[in-house]
Amino acid sequence: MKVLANICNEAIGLLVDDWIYAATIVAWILLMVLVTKAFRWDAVGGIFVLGSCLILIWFSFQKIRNIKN
Amino acid sequence: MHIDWTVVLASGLASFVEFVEAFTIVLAVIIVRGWKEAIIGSIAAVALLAILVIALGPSLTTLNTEAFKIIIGTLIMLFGLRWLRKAILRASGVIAKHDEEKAFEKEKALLESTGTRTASLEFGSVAVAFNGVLIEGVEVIFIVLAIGSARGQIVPASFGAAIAGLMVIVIGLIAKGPLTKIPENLLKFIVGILVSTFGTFWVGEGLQIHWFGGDFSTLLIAACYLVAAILTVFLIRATLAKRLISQGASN
Repeated sequence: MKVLANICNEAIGLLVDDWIYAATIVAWILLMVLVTKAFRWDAVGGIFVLGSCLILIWFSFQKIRNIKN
Repeated sequence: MHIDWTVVLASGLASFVEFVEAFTIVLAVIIVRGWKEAIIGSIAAVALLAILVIALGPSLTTLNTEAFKIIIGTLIMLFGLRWLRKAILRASGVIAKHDEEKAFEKEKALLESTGTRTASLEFGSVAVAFNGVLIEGVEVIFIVLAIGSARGQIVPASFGAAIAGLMVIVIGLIAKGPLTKIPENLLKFIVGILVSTFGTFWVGEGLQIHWFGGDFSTLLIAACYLVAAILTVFLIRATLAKRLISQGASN
């Protein structure tokens, strides 16, 4: 039971703590699904990686926005 | 039974690449979290693969692997980018560096107070090991079926894949020793990059993106994440330093 409780705690932690971050990554992947269905660009791989890097940079910066000192 | 050694070799070589990718993920979990999560995740994935093989057999090849890769890749990307962001924030001094000894003492005290010997299990790490082994395991099964069934050599093809798997495990365990000498936070930074890289690569494969250089494009993806992460660390440090200076000037 304790192990199960820990697993649930971790899963909920991921969803609650970082849900905007997680939702943005999922939304970005879904957008890529649509883009690859509609177009056949050779550059789509590069766009996907670049976008993921920008999401990482943006959400890392979000953490310091609320730091006053 | 006649053994076609070219089948053994072809299956072994093709599977070797997949085993390396799976073992990199498992090794990352061992380094970041520990053996327990890595072993539980890996065994669960192998058990599920065994059930799939027994239940579906050769009809496994008709499965929609693209959707499967997108789902598993997304999960791995979620955990990888979360770990990488934490590593960036640690490296830039925004959050405290993880103190393993302190964490161990806390865990020990908790176990002693509850009177149980069951250590806490991190869901995220188990899931990463599980997904890594599952996605690559399915690919190995496909390789064995594709190479083996064409010439009626399923057993030799499986033998080649098994040898490749054993080789990767032995090489990986030898490499683990030197890896543990790298400072913990640097190691977690590298692991964050690796897990994010494989997640991105697998999602791309699921989307049928033609990666430049095939499997070697993982090196390029990792380089992109590395540059982005280092750049972010420098920018955050510079921003925080600027803030301190402006606060000092106003006081």
